[in-house]
Amino acid sequence: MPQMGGQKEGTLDYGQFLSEVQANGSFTSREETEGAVASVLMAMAEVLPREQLQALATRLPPEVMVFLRRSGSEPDPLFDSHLFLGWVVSSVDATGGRDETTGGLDMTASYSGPEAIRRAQCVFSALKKRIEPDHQQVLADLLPEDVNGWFLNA
Amino acid sequence: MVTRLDPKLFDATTDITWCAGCGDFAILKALKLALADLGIEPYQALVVSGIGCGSKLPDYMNVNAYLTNHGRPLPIATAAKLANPDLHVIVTNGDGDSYGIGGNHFVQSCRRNPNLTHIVENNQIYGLTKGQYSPTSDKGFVTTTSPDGAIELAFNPLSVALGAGATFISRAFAGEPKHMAGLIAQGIQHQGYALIDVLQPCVTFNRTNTYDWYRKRVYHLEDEDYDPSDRKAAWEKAHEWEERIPLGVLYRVEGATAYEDQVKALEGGSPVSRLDDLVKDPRPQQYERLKERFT
Repeated sequence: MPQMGGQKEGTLDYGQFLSEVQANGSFTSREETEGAVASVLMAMAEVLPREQLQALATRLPPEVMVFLRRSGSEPDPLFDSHLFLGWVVSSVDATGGRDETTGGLDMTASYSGPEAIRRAQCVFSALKKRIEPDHQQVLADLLPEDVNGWFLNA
Repeated sequence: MVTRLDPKLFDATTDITWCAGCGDFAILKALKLALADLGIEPYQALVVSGIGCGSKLPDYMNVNAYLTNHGRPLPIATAAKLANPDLHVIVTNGDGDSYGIGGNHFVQSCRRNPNLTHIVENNQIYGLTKGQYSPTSDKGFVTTTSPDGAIELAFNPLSVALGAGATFISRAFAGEPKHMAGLIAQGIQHQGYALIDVLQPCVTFNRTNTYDWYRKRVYHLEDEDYDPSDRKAAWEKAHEWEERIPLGVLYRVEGATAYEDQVKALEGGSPVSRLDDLVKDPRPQQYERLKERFT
């Protein structure tokens, strides 16, 4: 496993990490930002091997470590981009959006896929600033198809 | 010896219209894997559904499919099995379709024991119709049709199935598709009605029972000293909710006899197998004779 570089100044600052994600996503509140961070990290915890999660945790603020704990022993080999988005969509307010399944404005539903992908990339972007390029590729190779592309292009 | 097939055999080209992140994706994937692992070819399987988000599933598979009326897939699947017992008949429908509109069919199937595999996409809400509370919504659950919280107690499919005499009762979680595929495969191999109740987050309308909510609660019966032939133990497990939710086979009767194996009219062969006679000799009197054998 490639070693990650030494810690940079500010790497473990939770407020700074959240500010970056909030700026990336133009989120209106800290609560919304934390929701996005939690959902993306929990989805990553479902698919990454334990040693990679531990390595990632050393690069992030201690406040987010709780999201990188997986209760199951091994990642489910069938975990794919749909399931990944399932975790992220949970952080999206689905009311009042445009419902693409029926083609019109729906006050109680929205098709949240594009927003979930955008949120994932906002968090990925902040993560990648704390990870060496060679390790970014290692992580991308372990993520489900499509998710790896969102990660690398974030 | 079973020859494993490629799950891609079951891929269809239809555009999928489920919401991003819907648990139905995992169910679709798990079903394809289970059929492939058992060496069942697409032409050997029939997937029957009702109405609802989850009931679109047969349309997304390369397999024999029958999308029926709301709540009616179980009797139609039973009829298909009686007509052609060689088919592997699988029912996929939601909690509203299974336990609400089709509730009576669910109870009768449990006690009748036809050789069907019943996968219930249980997201505790009506998704296709924009988020009304369903039979399995928890008491107090706030939705568009229960703004002050659902008044009724939630329907417990596992305890009802046990009480009605089901011979295979299990529960899966859409967040663990590999585990689910194993349960579906066991259900298909079971001789009789097999219930696989799948806890499946509706990411758009059910903001309570999310992947994270389930992840914190589910555990595997296989990891405990649990005997699925113990009916009393199954009754207790069927009532676990909120704090801990068991996954796996809660109850199984080994050596159960399927309904169609007890139908005397089928002893001489299934209706489908007798169609050959009709094809070879398509005279009206031949058809009449065939009808007489089933009256």
